[in-house]
Amino acid sequence: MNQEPILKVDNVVKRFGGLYALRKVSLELERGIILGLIGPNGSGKTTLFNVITGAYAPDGGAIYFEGEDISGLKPHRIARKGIGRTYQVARPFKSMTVEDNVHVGAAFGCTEDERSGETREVCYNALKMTNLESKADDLADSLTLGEKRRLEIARAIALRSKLLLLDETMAGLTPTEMDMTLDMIKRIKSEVGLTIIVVEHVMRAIMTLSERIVVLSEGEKLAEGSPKEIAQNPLVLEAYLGEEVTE
Amino acid sequence: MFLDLLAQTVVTGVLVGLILALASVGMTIIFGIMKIFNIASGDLVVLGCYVIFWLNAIFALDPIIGFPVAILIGVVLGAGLYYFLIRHIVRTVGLRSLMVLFGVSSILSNSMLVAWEPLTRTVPVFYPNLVFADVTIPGNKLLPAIVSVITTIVLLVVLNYTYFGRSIRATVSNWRAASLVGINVNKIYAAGFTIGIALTVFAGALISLVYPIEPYGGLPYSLYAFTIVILGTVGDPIGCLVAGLIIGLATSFTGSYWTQGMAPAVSYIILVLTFLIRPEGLFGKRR
Amino acid sequence: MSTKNLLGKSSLIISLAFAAVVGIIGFTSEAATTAYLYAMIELLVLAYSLNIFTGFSGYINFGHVIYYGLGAYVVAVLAFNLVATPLPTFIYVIAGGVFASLVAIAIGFPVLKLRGDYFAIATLGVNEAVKVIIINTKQLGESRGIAILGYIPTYDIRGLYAMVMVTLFAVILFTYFVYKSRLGYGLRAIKDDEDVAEAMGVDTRKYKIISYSLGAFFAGVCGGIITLLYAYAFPDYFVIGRTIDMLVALVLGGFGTILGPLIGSVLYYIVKDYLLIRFPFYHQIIFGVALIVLVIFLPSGIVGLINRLLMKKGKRFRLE
Repeated sequence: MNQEPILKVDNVVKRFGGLYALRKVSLELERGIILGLIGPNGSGKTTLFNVITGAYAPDGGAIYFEGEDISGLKPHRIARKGIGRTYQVARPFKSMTVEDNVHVGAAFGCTEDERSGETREVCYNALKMTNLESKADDLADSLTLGEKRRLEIARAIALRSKLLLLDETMAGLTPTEMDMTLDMIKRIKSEVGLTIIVVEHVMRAIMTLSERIVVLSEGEKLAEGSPKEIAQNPLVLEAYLGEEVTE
Repeated sequence: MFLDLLAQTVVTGVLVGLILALASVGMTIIFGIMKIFNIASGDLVVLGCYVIFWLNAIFALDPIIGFPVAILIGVVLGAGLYYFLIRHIVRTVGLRSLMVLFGVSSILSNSMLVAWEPLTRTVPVFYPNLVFADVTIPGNKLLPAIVSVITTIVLLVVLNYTYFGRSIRATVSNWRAASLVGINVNKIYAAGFTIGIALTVFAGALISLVYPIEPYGGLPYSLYAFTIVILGTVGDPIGCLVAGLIIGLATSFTGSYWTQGMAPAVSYIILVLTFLIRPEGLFGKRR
Repeated sequence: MSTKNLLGKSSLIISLAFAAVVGIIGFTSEAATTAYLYAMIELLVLAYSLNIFTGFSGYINFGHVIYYGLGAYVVAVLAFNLVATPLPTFIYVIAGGVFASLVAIAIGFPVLKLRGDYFAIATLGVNEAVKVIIINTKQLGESRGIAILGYIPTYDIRGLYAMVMVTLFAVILFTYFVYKSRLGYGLRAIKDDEDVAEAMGVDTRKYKIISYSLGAFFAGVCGGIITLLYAYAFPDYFVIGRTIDMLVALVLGGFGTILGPLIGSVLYYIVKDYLLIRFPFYHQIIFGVALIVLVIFLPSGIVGLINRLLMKKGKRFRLE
């Protein structure tokens, strides 16, 4: 079993003009765990995602994926190495069907296998895992919010990602939908052997899902530990003072 | 003499540049406010040229008297275009508005073709030239250039010292924030668009003294305007003047030391290079 | 899933069948009809070629017509210079297409870094720049162009009609294969959301350049054939009226589909020809209005309209 961390964020700095979104953030992620990433609005969570996936190049520090330096690589190369993501505001490919959406992920996924047979199988599996088979021929735009979220996950799975970044997947879901999604994520993780980083504001979801939690505040890592430790950490509570904590 | 050619080239370049700048000021306001590229601007310039030409040909009016007429026509046209067409596409996907204006451009140029035939016209009015040493400063270029500068200054005064002007600048900067502080953004769109069109037609009136007029001649003016707007940074009239000077000098030098025909190509290449290397313009903030 | 596969194929079959029918009619009719159909087929090829890039990726390209013109000039230059050792003319035509696609790669490399309307304006600038450069180059005949009458065998319009028909078949097949391939999926993803496409592993830069130069190839071939027809290459080939033709045809038919360019071009051509006879000169104005109306009210074209109607009726398939 590979002892090397699947992801290593090493003192990453990201600036926008004079504003520092990330100040020397470091973390290490072992293969197969679910890491929760929390923090007040503006603390840099989505920016960190964007840097890891290559949408932004870091201004300082480096990112290592499976031991390889991926800092500043173009997003499509990073995606092909095995990092997939979902978006805060669901962004499926609107003019395409559900199946086509997933097909994009499958066609450009981790392995360069062009044989359509294999691609179709990957699509089918991804749709099955996210309970979207019945919607395969529907236009992505006609889905409900919960279904769109699942579509994004299916697309990322079809990419054959090894690391999945989930950005506020629970936002806007009803409690029932939320429970379904939580179960689905846990199931997918064990079936496919994914490592996952979850960004959430919904505390219940993050506490249930995560095996470890990292707290960001104003671009810096504030705390790291098990969910129980984090819930009792006075610094964390202080950072959230004045924030709505959904229970 | 070498110095004479150089001086003459510089003079021509400066004057032409200032005139072209006015054609761009209209576009920079429109693009600044509503992020729409007015592809039809060149055809509006040509329309302005024709206004002066026909006033002169039919009524023997001196072009200077024709200038206010051109502005008036520009205002009416701008308001009409906005009310009937533009306000419906203001917040849509950028490419759609581009296509719509492409259609407007085609309608304008072909209407002028049908109405006034594909002949090349010139306005047969010549203003006195100034001569310094061996350098001639042609009156037909000097007068429009001066008018252009005056107009731009007036515009700058309005933009900086009136509530209306400041509202425009606020909308250019951030229309959402502008609406939050109580600016009626839709009114700004309407007024800004109308002023932009009026300035463009007026620029055409000025250009009628400088270049020959033909119905399909709009595209180069549009491209010159794009170049000047982007190079000078969007929404900045002074930037337009500076960029206008640069383009004017570039085309003038190309004309003097290479061939006149290649001058537009040089300008178009500057356009593409600006897009690639410095899309925020000379005075913009690097994004 | 199998229904959809059939539908893509059926669009292909319809298009090819139509092409075959028109081909036979054109080939066996008198010269006037053949000429009429020739222009229509040429518009079809151009619309399909523009569709490969603009239709699939959503990037409006105002400068597509330069590749038509470049193909034309290449054939003229080759015919002129190789008059001592002439090659079969279809090689010149292919060379025209290849040259056009190489220029497209060279131009696309920098220019495709731009997005949306900046890209569109840049293509306009490039188009005009190329035109101006050619008009000012002595070796290319300046504004008079290059005449190659006598440098090439005289062609019966039927022969060239056959050439252009072959090109049409080729471009339709190409469109179908692109649509079904990774390239097609990638381009459609780019059209919907370029950033997400990147994040899903699509090399957006590479795919945009590939489709841009593929489209250029077919436009260039078209231009080459017309030079053989007129035995003449001149700057009017670069005129912007052609761009309007292609764009209106594409908007009318529907971007990024297999049937779209077919329906759009045929309709547009028939209407244009009719208007040209009844209201000469006004027809361009009418098309300007048509473009505006279409873009505002029917942006996905006729194919899009049909699809929307099909969906309303609850049918589970779509026209491609």
